[in-house]
Amino acid sequence: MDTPPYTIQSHCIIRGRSIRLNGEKLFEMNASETLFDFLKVVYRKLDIDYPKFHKMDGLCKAIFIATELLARESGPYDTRTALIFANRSSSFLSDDKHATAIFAAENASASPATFVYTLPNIALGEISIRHQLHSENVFFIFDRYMPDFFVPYTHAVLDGKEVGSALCGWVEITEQTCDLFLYHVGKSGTHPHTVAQLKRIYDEHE
Amino acid sequence: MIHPIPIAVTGMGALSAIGCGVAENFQSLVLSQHGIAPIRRLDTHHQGRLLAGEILIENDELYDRLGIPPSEAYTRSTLLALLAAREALDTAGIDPRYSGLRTGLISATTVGGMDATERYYDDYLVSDKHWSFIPTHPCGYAAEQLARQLGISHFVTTISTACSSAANAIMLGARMIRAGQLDRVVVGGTDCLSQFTINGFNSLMIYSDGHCLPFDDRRNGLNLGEAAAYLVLESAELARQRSKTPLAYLTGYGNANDAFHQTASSDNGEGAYLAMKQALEVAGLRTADIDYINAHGTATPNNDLAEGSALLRIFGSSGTLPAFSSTKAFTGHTLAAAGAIEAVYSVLALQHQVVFPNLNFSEPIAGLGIAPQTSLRTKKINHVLSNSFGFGGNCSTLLFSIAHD
Amino acid sequence: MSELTQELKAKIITQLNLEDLTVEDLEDTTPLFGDGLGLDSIDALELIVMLDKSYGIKLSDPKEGRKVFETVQTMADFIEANRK
Repeated sequence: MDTPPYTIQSHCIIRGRSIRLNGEKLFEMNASETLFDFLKVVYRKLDIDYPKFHKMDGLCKAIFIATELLARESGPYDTRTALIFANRSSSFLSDDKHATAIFAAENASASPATFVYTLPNIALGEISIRHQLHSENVFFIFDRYMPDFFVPYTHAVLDGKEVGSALCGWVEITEQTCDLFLYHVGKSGTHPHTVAQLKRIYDEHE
Repeated sequence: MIHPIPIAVTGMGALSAIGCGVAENFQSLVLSQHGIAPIRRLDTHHQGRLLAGEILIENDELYDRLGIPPSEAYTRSTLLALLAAREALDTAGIDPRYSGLRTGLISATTVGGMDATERYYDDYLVSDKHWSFIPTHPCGYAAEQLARQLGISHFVTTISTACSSAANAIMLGARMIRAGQLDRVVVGGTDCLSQFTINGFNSLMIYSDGHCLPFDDRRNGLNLGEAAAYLVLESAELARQRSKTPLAYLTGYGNANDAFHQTASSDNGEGAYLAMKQALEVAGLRTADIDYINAHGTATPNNDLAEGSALLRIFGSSGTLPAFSSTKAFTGHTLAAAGAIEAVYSVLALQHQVVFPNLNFSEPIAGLGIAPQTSLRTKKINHVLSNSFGFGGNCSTLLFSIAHD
Repeated sequence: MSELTQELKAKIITQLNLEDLTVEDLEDTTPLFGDGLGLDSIDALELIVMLDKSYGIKLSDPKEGRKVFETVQTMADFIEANRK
């Protein structure tokens, strides 16, 4: 079998109560912290100056932080870095918030700032704005993380293109749980971009 | 140079405010009969005030037409999708259950099962009468029901990227055939009207209080619509083997992010420009080869200005801009279905050699100096560009080309 | 009047998730859009919702909002003149 031309340059997992970068635990939640408070704390610890972060919903915040960590590790991202993301619940956190507001028994009203986030691909827009990515971007709805789909799809997107760089993510986030696996695919580094490698990394810290 | 496999469109199906079935849609386009009216079907406090492109068929009747027992839980979006997908398979002359080929389904939606959740949520808490609808809520569920009904099992997925979703589904379908992963694929999208989206767009103050005016200087917002549309794609060779004349070819596609704002487009339409450029490159065509552009044209102040600017950037000047129109004044903005219903209209344009009118237009956008085609026009059409731009800066363009007999 | 501006500042900060800002930091005459606070079009829409929910004033044209929302002071003036 030929050596795959693409590698996993860096990866980030936000799961359980911690954030791991390339397998190493960087941040850990306090017992009483919610995921969203935790992300805010990490934002400050990383010394990021981007006030728009605070307007984002939980899905966007998690993706934003992970993307930031990967950028610092194996970036900066080329403007043509493709974005290939998926999850199961779409933008449920914001969908729920919007629905609750418009169907409230009293004082029903729609918040435009909430409605903006009722689409899962808004997160791709947010990181595109932050890192100035004018690239191909897609968001799938799958039952679970499917590296057997992601790998050939990523290769199809990158093959024949000058820039062989993509950010891929499985980002299933609910009120209580976060199962985020984000990785930067490129041409340098030691981990080959294969289904076996991705499964290994994803399952390692289950 | 490796020539990519030509992708044939061999079937299509469509339901919208202007018709049930492709033929009815075409009739309405030709007769300039739009389907925009004050909301009357959907139960919303905006009823009677806001205009929308409603499909005036109740869910009961959709169940009847499909022959589905009313005891089974199908959301409106799924019912509409089933009718459209069945029409697509019928016109393609195939049945995935017996073809012996690797057939996939790539569907698109943003509303998902929200219409059922809106109707039954309060009920869920007091009675189990409608509990069968609970699993229908998530975005991915419709595609699974569709796949089961149509007999598709090789590959099933849902794309949810706002208003470009169906265009992206079509693009993915073509890619999977070219990559040798599928022999045939049913691609498209569906979104029904919902209180969720009507309230949401209204809160962004981009919902017009009258009929939408695409590309007009006085435009002040969109009208939402509901629709479902699907295409059947297969390699040209496969179509030839079974003596099936393609309706058209999908020769180009492109997708790029605008990277400007979550819901607004950049002034110079960078994402739109990049998507159109990529579609032309994939097709190996030049701008002069394009005969008609079915624009995204939602009639919001922002989109039409950004898209108009991008069109001028790509095509050079208003003098070299091909005939273009937005058909959203007919159907309303059908969100995740838009890319698919407008793909159907692009194929119709090629089949009948006509440019469809952009309704409600009288004044060009100040500073742009471009005017859409306002009446039905017969002309030689070889290649059509179809634009679909979604929130989150997700910009997609499809390029369809004529199938010569 | 200053009670209203104080109230407005607190509401703006909460409503628009301006986490890094305190009521003390926000001056009455700082431009809210453009070079000052750098709010965007979605923020403007949220302020329109706030005007309606908290003060009963309905703005139907987003462009009218730009003048009203220039600064905390212009907002307070507008509310005083139009509140129900």
